[in-house]
Amino acid sequence: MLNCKDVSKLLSESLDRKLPFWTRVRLWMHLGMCRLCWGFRRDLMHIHRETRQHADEIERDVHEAEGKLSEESRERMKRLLAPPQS
Amino acid sequence: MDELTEPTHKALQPITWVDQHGDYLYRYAVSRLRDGEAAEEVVQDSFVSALRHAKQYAGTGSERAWLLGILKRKIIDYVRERNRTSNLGDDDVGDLSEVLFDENGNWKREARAPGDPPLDALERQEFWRILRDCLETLPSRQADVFVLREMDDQNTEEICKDLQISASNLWVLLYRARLRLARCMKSRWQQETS
Repeated sequence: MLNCKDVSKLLSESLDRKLPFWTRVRLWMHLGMCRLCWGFRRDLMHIHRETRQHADEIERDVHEAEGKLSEESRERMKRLLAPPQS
Repeated sequence: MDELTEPTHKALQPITWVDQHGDYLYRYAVSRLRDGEAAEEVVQDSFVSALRHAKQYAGTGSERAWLLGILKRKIIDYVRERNRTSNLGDDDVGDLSEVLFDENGNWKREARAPGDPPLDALERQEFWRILRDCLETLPSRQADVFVLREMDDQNTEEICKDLQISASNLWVLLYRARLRLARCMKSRWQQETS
């Protein structure tokens, strides 16, 4: 019988590899009976989906204001990219 | 004529890169590396590398997309480099599973209760603000693998190859990262609403 700790680990692994068939059966039997693990699964899946689907658009909005290159490095990079003076 | 600095395509305008794409690339790098100085470094490396390989620009996609592709590669190189010195043992401090479960492997009462509100009830902006704060609290290597795997959606074989770790090491790191994140996000949220 799997305990909650085993289940939390397997839930995470199921996002990274296909679990063996009987492991999945045991996992789902536990989830069917355990509200706490069901709640953990819900949180885990939410983090998983949200980070995948919205990482880029959110970065654009959230860091719009504060995320800027410093003047110093801006100048340095421009010098590196400028065509040679000749 | 210096072929290194002379753009070979009309479409590429290196002189405008900093103004056109600098902040965009910088924000992207900060979100992945969580470190402003490191982000500036990889952006600069990307520009230099782009200039050097300007001939390889096919001219089909946008200049920005092409630069972003180069930046992503540089970010992975940077992550690999900064994780080279730490070994997996460092991450044991970040193993919350010893704290959240009792000796029988059941959730401790303070770790998880039946009435806890689910994280999907959070508004998107709030979710991201808290996620970002919590990522800062993770051991650096856990945060790095989480970002590569979840935000960049890289496959596990690639990450193992890039960071030179085994698949089972990666699963352990990701498990610890997710467990810690879920825990941290929950308690931050509860603190703020109480």
